[in-house]
Amino acid sequence: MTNITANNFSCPKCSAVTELKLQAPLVICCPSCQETYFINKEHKATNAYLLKHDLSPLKVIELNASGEYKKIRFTIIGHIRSINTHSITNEWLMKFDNNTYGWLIENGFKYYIFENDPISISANSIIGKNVGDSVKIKEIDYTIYDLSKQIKFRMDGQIPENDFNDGELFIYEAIANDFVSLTTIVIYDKTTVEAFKGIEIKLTDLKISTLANFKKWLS
Amino acid sequence: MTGETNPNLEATKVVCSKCNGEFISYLNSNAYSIICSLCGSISNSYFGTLERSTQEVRLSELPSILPIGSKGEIKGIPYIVINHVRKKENGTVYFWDEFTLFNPIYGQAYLSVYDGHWMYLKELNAQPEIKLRIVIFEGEVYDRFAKYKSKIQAASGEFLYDFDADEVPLVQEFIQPPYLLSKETLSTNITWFKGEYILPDEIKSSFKLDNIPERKGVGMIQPFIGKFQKRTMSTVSFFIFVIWSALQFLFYYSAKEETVFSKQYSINDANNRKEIYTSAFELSGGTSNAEIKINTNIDNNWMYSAITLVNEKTGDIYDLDLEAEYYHGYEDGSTWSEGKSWISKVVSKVPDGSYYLIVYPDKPATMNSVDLTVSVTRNVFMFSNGLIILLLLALFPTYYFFRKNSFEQRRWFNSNYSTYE
Repeated sequence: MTNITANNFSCPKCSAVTELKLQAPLVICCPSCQETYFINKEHKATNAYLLKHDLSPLKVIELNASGEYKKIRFTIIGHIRSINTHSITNEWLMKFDNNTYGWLIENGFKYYIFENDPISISANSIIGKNVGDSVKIKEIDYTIYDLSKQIKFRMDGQIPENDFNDGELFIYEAIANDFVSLTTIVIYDKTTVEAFKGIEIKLTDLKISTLANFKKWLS
Repeated sequence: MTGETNPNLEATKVVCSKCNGEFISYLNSNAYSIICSLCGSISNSYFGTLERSTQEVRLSELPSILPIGSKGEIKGIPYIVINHVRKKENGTVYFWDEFTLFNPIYGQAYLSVYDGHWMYLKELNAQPEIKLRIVIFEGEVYDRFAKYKSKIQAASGEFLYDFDADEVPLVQEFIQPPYLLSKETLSTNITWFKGEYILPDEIKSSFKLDNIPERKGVGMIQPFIGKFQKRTMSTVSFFIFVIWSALQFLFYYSAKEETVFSKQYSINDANNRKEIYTSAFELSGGTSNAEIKINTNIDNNWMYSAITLVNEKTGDIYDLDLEAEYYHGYEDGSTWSEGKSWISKVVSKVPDGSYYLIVYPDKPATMNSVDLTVSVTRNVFMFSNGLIILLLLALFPTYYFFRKNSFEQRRWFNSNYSTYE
């Protein structure tokens, strides 16, 4: 039996109880048995049948790690590991103390902060573009420098249901002329395209608690 | 594959799914691709299990330069070497070695070595614009040095990206020694790198290597003198000139010029070519120079005087020959002139004391008389001395620029975009 109260989730498989840190609908991975469930608005849980996996043997960033960004404390509550056609991306959901969310993203061990709110853009403005081409999003010109396709998807912790995308997505990475503003454009299908704005950051600036395990690698 | 936490990136054993041999991994499932060091087969490892790919790479051609697993520090960042790739310029025999350095906090960097010259490269979070043959980045102008397609010849180790042994990226390189910008273009990816020249000894000591390849020729971004840049030399030259100008200005205004003797003589046929003894005058203020000058009223003519400066007490003498010549005229619709009606010479290091002059005048026969004024001035400002100092100061910059030019010619010898003949 699934037993979900306003704040707790009891795993149907192993009965471990987990505190819910997001509003439904969400997806949760049981920290005890690693089974993944969708939880809808009515707090009904259904199995997502996502393959289990130890997502990050290095654990530079871990679930429940804390940090600080723009002087606001955050806790890592979710993790997506996405394999695309030529690299691996880890996306960590940051829950800030002011109840806002952001994504801490690692790709090739470069680290980025991306906004949680997507910008809907016209599919015609992006489909068919190649690397080196320009794309305008909210009056800012970006240069596309990377095209890839998601081929595998895993998750851990808790993430909003909207961010659970285990299909084959096309992903365009682009950078603005200021060489600071980045955008990731995700093509879900022929009509649904969203862009997320972000910037590259130095991981050490975030004061992530798990960096204590990596003292040897700090300069 | 193990799934254990490995924050210190210690070596763990992995079993190859093709040859069943055991080889070493440092990244485990953080790697996208792993090349078996025993058989050269490429596997994807991102979910902790080795999924075999159909590709293989050659291992036999990899020289032992910087072993995978070596740990060292560059620019204050600790790194571990996670792979080694030997690449060549497609269609040529030129090859070089690349090593990926990994740090879980600061990410990846690369070392590239060609003919014993090392470069430290990092991926840029930027897409600079190429304008004909240059790229302007962070206020610096980089000149195009090379454009070619690179091909993988041999490889080993772990990769954070999908390793494709068949990819042939277009590479464009721009240099501003000791820095480089490199653009690698594939159909799905454009990556810019910024590189910096690293002295071989720095690599050798940082990674505790016994031997490294010897340097040959001039490296693509090898600085001319250590990290001494052309701009630094220009700045040094500018400051030398500024300091010299300031000193000249200071000496000019601090020189206490004093005319200690001046007298006019009328030289005619009666006293011409006869010695004139002047009255005595004092030279004081410490050993310094004295300017002896003759001023005449010659016009299209000459006036010669042999002058001896005599120390009354010691008898020390200083001989000078002074000849003033002044000619002018009108020719082919324009006026011309040559020389001047006066002349002076400076005697240096004249001690204090009482002196007089012996003047031996020699006027031209075509003039009945010449007004000859003889004067002595103590402590004159010597512009020529300053010029000698300037020339001495300019010796190093001049040497630098000639040597640098020769150095640059050798650097650009390997480039298709050289502006040197």
